Amino acid sequence: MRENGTLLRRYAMTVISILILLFLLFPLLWVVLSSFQPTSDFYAPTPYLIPRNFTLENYGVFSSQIGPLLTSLTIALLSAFFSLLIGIPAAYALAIFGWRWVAIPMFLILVTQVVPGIMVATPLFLTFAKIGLLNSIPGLVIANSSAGVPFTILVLTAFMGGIPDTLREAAQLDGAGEWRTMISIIVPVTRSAVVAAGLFSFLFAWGDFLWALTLNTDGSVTPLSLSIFKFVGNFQTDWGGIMATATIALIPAMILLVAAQRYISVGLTAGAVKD
Amino acid sequence: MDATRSTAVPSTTAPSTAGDTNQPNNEPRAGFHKAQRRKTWSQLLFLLPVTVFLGLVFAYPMGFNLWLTFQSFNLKSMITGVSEFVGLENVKVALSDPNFGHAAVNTVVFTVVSIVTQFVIGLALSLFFYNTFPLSKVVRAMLVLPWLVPSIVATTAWRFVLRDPNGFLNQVLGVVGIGPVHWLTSANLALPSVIIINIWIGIAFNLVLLHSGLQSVPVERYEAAQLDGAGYWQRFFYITLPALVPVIAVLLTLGFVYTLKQFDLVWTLTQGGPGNASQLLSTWSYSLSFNANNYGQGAAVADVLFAASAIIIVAYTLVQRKQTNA
Repeated sequence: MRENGTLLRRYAMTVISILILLFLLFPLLWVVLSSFQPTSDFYAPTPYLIPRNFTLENYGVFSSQIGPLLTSLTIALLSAFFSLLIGIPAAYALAIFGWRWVAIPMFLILVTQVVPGIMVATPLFLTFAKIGLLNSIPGLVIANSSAGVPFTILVLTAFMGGIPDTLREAAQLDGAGEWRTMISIIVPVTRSAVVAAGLFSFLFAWGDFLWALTLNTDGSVTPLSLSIFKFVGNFQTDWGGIMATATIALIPAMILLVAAQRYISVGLTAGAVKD
Repeated sequence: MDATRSTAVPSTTAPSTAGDTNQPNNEPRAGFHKAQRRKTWSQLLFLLPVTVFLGLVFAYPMGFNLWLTFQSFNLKSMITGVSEFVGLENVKVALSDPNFGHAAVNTVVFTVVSIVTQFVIGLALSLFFYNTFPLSKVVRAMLVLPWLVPSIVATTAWRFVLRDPNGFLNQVLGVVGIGPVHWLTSANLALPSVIIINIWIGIAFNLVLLHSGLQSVPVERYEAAQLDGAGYWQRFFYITLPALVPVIAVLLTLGFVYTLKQFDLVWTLTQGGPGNASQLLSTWSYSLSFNANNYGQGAAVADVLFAASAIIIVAYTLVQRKQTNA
């Protein structure tokens, strides 16, 4: 299938691939470019690919969006931490202890992946209303970890299952208990999968919209996604401000893409193709 | 895990014979079992946090949802906490509502068109990126971006591009003389527009999985086929496609259940409108619960959605089991 043609042919492929990339990423690219243009330019009758006027005025929204930004960041970091805290021991047990009935919990974890968010949203909303977790950071961390925890388990069991048993046996001959073995032997060995699971749990929470929408009723805790949604919904639409806020919301994904590329493909493939 | 023990083959026979000779002496064995049981209990501790957590965010809400399905839970019940058992009333009302049929058809169209199209595009891209050329890795990595960004950013970007009359797409169409198109606000185009955006998001997922699937096809097979004079398409249909079957099965199954429950995208783009033009079961369930405060009917629609996903995932698991056992 691999056609390693002439040098010219290979460079032609590079050009084609970049055209595909520009075409597919255009909407996102357009957001970033537009965020540096004055809003008045958005109403021109003819299209301009390159910004005519450069301005930072749209980023004036930053002062009003810093609250939602910090809220989202807090929720996403705590969700990632919580997902690893609960997910790592579970994955260790399911992958290492060699239980005969292990297929049952693994199937149940797979089922959590297919539960529609709205099926959980109403009951969680009614329950949280009763116990005072609406409009709160802990409430949103719990709800967001419902994506991160199962994902962490799926990714990590696939990796931990591949570790030679001798490693654990050696640690335990040296007197290490199961918890010790997990923390100082197994987690370091599978650290790229652990990092991937943490990153994805962060991204799930960072990108969350459903929980932000349903579990907030009084606007006291507004994550960035909800803030953008309300922003877009206003009739007096300040597109410049929206584009600047959207650009800010793009940053974590872009940083991860550049700095943690390896982990992204680890997470994407292991999460789906667990053998 | 057992593979590592194969290095110790000679010694594995020794403990088993030793166990047989120990038969008369029962004391150590009983102690061993007690220790074993204690070990199992301490091992189960590893699963305690996850069981409590998943019980709280999945099992309990799902049970609650089922209970809601049979209750007359409305805005008043929100305050008083009182609702009554109404049997299948919610299910009957929801399923006989003309909106149900409409949203169900939309959901099927949305799901099937989305997965088929993003699979075909993802496959084409993965075959293209199977070649190595300068920057191929970097460009392939960048293509994942639409899938990584928050859904609200993706939909906001599209709303901006599709905006009428001044969105970029309408500006470009205007140059060719095509009047502003109401991509998201006309009854005919809202659903197709939403589907296109969903495909756009899903391409990355298909590309990454198919690409890793392609890596596992042994290169020797292609070389052998080429020696036998097989052309590109012959190699594709007789070697590549059969080798990709397990990946494709996972991809389509997950694609199906993820697309079926898609909510964010449609809610942030059209909220199911205009009218009900782009209404899906997920968005309809949400508006029944949170806009109409008709929690029982919203719960009934959510049950239907879950049942559809559950059937798919159970079928997939059964087929997969049959194949690994065969």
